[in-house]
Amino acid sequence: MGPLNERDELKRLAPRLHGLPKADPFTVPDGFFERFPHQVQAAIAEGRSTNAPAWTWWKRAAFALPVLAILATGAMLLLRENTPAPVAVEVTPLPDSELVLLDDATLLAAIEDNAAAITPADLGHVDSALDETYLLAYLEEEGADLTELFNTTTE
Amino acid sequence: MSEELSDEALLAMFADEVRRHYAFNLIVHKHQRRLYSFVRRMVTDPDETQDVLQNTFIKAWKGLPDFRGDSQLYSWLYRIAHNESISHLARMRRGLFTTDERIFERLTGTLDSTEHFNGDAIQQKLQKAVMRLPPKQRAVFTMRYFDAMKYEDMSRVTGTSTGALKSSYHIAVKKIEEWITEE
Repeated sequence: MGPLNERDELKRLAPRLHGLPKADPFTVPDGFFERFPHQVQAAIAEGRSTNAPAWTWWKRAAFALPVLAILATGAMLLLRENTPAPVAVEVTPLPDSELVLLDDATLLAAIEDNAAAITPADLGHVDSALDETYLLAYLEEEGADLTELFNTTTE
Repeated sequence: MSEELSDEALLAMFADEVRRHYAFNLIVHKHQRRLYSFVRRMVTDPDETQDVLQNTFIKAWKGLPDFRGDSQLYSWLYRIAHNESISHLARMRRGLFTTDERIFERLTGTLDSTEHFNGDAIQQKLQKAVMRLPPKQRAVFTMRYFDAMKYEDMSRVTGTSTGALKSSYHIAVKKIEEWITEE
């Protein structure tokens, strides 16, 4: 398509655009073209790079550290949420009026019911060869009536 | 004086290390106005135009020693200016909250200022319509419509086939006609 045909094409396709003047409406700052070549030479002499300034290491660090801190905090919170909290054992408190009614037999029965679940390990080390002297010393400390004990054993 | 010297003469002078800076100064003088006009139509803002144009010539300085002369010097410079303009516009699009509308407002803000724009209402309307084109299509339209560049030269500048350029220009013309016609 030659230039004349293209002008006709433009006239047909875009009549309003075809009729507009092609003058440059942009205002150039005063003295720009006088100054500009010197500015270019100065930039060349400075060895100015045309690329966007590269990030220096400390700028990278200044940006990365807060991001890492946020990520670490998030991870810690996530782990904490996933760690199972200790299960609280629900204990139904008995009112004093009911506690008074519990006799020793009932208490002992409750202890015996749970006795099967108690393993020797739970009791800790039991020295079966405990010296009689230690036993007596213990009973005296507890204030036990030793005469009653002796009377019982002799019977 | 720079207009009297051909590009070949300037390039020969540039090859001489002693006169390299002087030759380059003349090259800038010779081609700055035409390239300024193209870049200004692409980015509109005068300060940004200066930055893009300066980058263009800095790259030209670095690349001239390798310039083989297989194209005209002006086409080669134009190609750099084109790529720098497109890169500049691409950098504008980066950013978390950058929208097409914000970019359009930024590009057309200059057109509302009489300090930087002395065209009438219809010319303002035309320039705003041009700003609505995607950057590469804007470049094609600017080169063809305002600079009357041949498709073969445009192809060397953009690295695009002449067929694709004709198609792109055709579409751009239709779009702009529609936009400047609507009230």
